[in-house]
Amino acid sequence: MGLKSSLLKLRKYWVAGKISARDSSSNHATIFSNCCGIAVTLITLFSVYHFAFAARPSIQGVTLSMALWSIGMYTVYWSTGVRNIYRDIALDVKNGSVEGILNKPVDYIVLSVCKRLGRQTWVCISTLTISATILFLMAGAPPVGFSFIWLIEFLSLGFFGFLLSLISFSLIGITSFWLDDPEPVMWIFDKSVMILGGSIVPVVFFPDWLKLLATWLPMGAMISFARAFTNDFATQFPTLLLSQLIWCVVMLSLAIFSWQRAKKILSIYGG
Amino acid sequence: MIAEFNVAHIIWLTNLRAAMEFRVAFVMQIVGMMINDCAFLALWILFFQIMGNVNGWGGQQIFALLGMNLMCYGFAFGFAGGSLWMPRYVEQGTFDSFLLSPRNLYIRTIASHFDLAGLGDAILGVILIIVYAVMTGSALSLVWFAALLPATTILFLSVSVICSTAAFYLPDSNHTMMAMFKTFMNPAVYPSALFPKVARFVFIFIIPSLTVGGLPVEAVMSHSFLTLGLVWLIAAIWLLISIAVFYGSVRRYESGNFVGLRG
Repeated sequence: MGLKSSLLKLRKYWVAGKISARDSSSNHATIFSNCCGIAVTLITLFSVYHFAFAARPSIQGVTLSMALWSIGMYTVYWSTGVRNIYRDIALDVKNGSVEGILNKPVDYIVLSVCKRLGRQTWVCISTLTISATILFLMAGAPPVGFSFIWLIEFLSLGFFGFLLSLISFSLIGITSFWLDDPEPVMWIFDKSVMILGGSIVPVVFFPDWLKLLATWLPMGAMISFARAFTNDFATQFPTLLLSQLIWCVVMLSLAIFSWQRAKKILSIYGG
Repeated sequence: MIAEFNVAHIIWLTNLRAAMEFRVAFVMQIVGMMINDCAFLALWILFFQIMGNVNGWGGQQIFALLGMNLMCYGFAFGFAGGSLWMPRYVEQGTFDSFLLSPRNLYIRTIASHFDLAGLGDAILGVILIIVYAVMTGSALSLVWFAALLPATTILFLSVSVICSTAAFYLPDSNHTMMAMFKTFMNPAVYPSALFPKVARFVFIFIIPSLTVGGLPVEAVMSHSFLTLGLVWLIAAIWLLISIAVFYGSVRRYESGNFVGLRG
């Protein structure tokens, strides 16, 4: 009975996500233009690396293929659109629609997350397809010895990284209850993710102090699955996973605490 | 035309004063954007530290490239951010008020919005260009940048207007417009010397990303009047295209019967 009621509770979020996915699927122009944007960015960036590696087979023991696959993983993370959750929450707070949703028997944050993931489904699928095609064409097969253990490690880092992103960006969205506009907070956080996640320069090239920050700060931990394409991944894995787990707990606690406080300071003006 | 720019000037001042009313948000937006932009600088400096100079480009050129891009972006959207807001105007029906205005529709629309963060971009852009001039010991390069800036800003605005006209053809076009504009903007922050020949042609003439970033820097580095002329020519052509596309698209606009007042 308990399980059944829990499943029924979850069903409404699933339905909300499904409706958002169906709604966004009709916007072909957005899907197409997103694909073009990703393709142009990846081809440009990969061309730069082809140029840089032209006269040498490897730099600091890293091959061109390793570098491109690591950068490609940042694109995978970016295409999930998980970072836009903060904007949805901030917009609801700004225009006051959060008040209406809070009166409904749903958890507002979970609902926002599900709606965003639904809205992003088709864009994500299409950009992933484009990214994977460009990656295979320009970087060749992934430079790893595939094994069941490697796959489990890669997927677990991907899962917890995704979870950490969901929580962190929701937390930034919640700050809009206190700040007029959380955009500046987001800019700084987002650009830290861009640097520590290895968007243009893969983490493997970083100096030791920056590598340490990329490992132990949440902005880097979100995309640590990109490091699965380097030689020292097996030895790094436990540290990377531990960092993700710690930050998941910390961020979740912060998000729950902030959300409780936010609900208390919410002023309802009616309308 | 001078009267049109006078009106635009009044709108800018009004918007600036309105933005300055919330002082904390005002400072946060400008400083936040400057810190945000420094991320690109840090990344490219790191890139060139690892890779060394690639095809004649290194850390110095990145200062010039980002400086140019930021100034373009800052001046274009700081003072004429209305181009990016056009999809919202069309969707909400507030575009009616621009149509009813006796002023020039093109200028009135693009000057309608003041992007505060753009001011942060512009300030950092100017700082980076000055740093570049100090590093290279060439005060003349400042004159070159000043000669190129109006052209690249016009080009930036023209492309954003063309992308925004998607609002007249597609429903819910804001995301589409942003994705189209990012397709143009992303290659602009990459060193132009690293593009193969075909890609260079595409990104100079068809999607003019390099014309706002890499090409002006090349013109400054080589003091090439030919490149300077080319940048101005491309900007003029894109401006004409954007005016034609804009007025052609406006014909498709259907009023939403929105009633309201605008300042």
